[in-house]
Amino acid sequence: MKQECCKKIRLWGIIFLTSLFFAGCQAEDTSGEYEQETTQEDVQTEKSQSTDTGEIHSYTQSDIAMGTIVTSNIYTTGEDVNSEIFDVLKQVENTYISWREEDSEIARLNASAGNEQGVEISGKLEEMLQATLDISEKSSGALDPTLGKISRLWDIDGENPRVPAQEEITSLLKADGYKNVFCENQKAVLPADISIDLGAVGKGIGCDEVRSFLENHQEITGAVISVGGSILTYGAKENDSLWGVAITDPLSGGENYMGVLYLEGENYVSTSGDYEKYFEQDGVRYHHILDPKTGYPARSGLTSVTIVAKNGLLSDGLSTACFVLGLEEGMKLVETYNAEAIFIDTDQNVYATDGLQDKFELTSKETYHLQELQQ
Amino acid sequence: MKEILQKIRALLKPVLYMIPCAAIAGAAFFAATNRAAANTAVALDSYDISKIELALKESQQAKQESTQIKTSTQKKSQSKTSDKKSSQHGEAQSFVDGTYEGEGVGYAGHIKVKVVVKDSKIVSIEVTEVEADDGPFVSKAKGVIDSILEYQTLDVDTVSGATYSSKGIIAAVRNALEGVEDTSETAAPPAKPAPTAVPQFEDSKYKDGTYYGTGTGFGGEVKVKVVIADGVITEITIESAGGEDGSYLARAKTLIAKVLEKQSPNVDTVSGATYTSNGIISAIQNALSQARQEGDDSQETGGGTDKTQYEKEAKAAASTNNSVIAQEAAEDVVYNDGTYTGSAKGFRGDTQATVTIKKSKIEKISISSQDDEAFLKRAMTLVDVIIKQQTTEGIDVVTGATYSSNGILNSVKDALKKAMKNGDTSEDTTPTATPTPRPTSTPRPTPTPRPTSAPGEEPQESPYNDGTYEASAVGFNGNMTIAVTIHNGIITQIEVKKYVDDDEFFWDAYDGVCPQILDSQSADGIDTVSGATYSSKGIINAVIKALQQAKK
Repeated sequence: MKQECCKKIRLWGIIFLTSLFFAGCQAEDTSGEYEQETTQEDVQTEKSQSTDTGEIHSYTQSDIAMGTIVTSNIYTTGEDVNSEIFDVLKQVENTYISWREEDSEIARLNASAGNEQGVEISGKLEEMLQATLDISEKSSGALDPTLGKISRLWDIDGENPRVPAQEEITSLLKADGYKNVFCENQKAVLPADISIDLGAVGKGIGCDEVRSFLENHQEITGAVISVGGSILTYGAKENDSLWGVAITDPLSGGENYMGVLYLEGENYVSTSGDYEKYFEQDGVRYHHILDPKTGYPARSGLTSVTIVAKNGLLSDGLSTACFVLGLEEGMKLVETYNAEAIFIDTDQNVYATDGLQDKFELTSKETYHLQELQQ
Repeated sequence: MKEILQKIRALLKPVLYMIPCAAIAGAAFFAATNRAAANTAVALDSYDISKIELALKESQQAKQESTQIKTSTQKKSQSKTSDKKSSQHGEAQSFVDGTYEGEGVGYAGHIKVKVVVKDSKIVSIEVTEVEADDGPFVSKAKGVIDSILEYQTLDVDTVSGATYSSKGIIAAVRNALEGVEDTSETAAPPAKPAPTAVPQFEDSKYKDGTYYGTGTGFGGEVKVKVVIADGVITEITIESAGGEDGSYLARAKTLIAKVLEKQSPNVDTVSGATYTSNGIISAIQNALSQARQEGDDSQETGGGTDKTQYEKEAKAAASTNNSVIAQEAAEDVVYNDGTYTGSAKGFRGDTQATVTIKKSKIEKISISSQDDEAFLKRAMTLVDVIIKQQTTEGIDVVTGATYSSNGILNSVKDALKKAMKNGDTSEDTTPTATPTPRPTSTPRPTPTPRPTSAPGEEPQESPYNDGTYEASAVGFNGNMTIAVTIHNGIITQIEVKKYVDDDEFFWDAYDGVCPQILDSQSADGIDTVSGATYSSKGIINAVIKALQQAKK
């Protein structure tokens, strides 16, 4: 009996001690983690913990890509992948958009001009081209990707911007050049003397590519990217507040803003303005948004157009087209695409489409006047 | 039967033994979970910070909302907070019927009110007198009057963006009803030295043409266009005045008509919009000086001098370009005093913004960047706007801006994030979104005020030469570079140029170590910050090295 009792006592003693041991272990572990988190001395684990615990960090980087300045802000529970985002943009430029890179598809396409056989193009380039040509159609040619040669005459981006002679422009001007571009089933045919320049929609395309990248990185919960002023907002900030997208004040030399758009979630915002790239000669300002019908800078009574659309190419293309079209026709085009817009004219009148009236706040109230639109 | 009972007993025995064991194990387990609860309690602290920051952002949005357009989408994120807002007031009280007058202290001076109580309820509150400077803020703060009338208590929220005026109104009403005197002091920063009157301009004949001139207003550069035809000033327009507040600009603009009438810029400034008036007048003078007939030496007018000064400042900078603008600003109380550095990766290196908060306001923003001067100059306008508005909240990005004003914006936001604290509204309750604790969000202890070098004050023989000295030392992850500024023999500033330590530890170390150094005017005998020893040591060592360079 005694032996049996001892056995039992031993057995239960073991179970008792074992359970104590496990309970104690748990207590120890949690306290251990706690210490590690707060002191610098044991920080190796802290670094990996920060990515595991789901804390949202924000990272910012500015760089030059796509021929302009790009600033990227990401909100993520993961690592800082901004440099990868910049690589994506550089890649897109070199592959599709740059007509300077001999390897780029655009360069190859332009080299084939006059060849009735045409040339094979990738599905992606075809998509971009068709979307651009669609805007050209619907805007009656206010946006025209075949304007490249004339743009280069002006050399606004370059070392020697100048006003070209009338003859130079006339000789190159092809009315509705975009109508001569054939593009279908991944084949494109360009007549002679026509070249394609996706510059007007390039930054928007950049935003579209970045969005694909973000979608493939689930740990990124929010982002706001500015590709030379074309904006992508994605997801949300760490506290869920709205994205504040300020609109540059055309009169401020480009560094101040006149109002703010408060947006939620994914948005593509582009602004075209006559203050962005220009030169002055004999007291006249020549800006970079050419009217494809004349080959001269568009004088439509507008100084800035901001478009909010459902993809980057569209917002970029529409901002250019609407600037050329002017207020009335521009508003119609915006409506056709179900996009939203803020137009500013040269008399400091500001017009906002219905969908933005509740989202736009004019901050520079003394200089600008928000107008009612007669719809 | 007996056998069965015995078997049952045999079975029960282990159970009986198990109970105390389970109890003890359970107790140990419970103790362990309590420990975990302690962890959660710590996590909750930072959770609170995120709530506070959330409330801050919400209140900023509320400020924007209240000015103009009520947005439906904003309302969505606001409606979540509206419930808690309505609960932030005291219990309704009853009052003695009658008409009372009272006085309180607002932002820049006194506020007088007249309060009418009828049927034990406050039925009206009228602001009868107010100091000139308080005008716009008092209008904003009238929201508290609505609150008092609605909730029948003086325990109501102040209006975000008009804290002092709100408090002044509440105090005035209290004074009226209870006779309690408001002994608080005005919160206005020591008056900006009376704006030096723009020097008299020597009138003369003008050449025909169109001239552009610049001057400095309250918030930055003011640019005007002046057209002379047949020797007569026919047109003056304001080309840009981005840094000027709308209402002040509107008032100041009226002086243009007087200039045209008098054919001279020697006109009075507009009362209540002195700085903006001066800016416009200087700009006109600047333009006119270009239009003088030959024979007149072009005077350096206000506009001209300002421009040169700014350029000089930019050029005089050391290896990195530094541009500094110091401005007094409006009245939002949202930041902890101190100096905070934020950075954003620019395209030629880091852009760093060092923000100085004094009396809870942004006093100074210094931008340091390896980008070129032209870029910096253009971007400084944005800095002016940020100082004027006292926040970068609400703006995440600027569209249509080719230059990286976004880079500057981000580095200033980064600095301000570190300086943020609870807004002036009463304590916050449940947050709306799921706030995640962020490493940079721990509140910073207010550093003890530094000895400001008063002019004319003779310091005892200081061992240091004036100047700014940089030195590097090793922290936890690697090197850091610190710049120490000596002015009038006193260590006045410790600036972080570069660091690779983790934010969480580094800034704790900075906030713990720097006030000690500034107080004792020495880097000896400084206590390191517990839990951030390496960063502390790095900063201290860097300061020691810098001070070595400064020694006479």
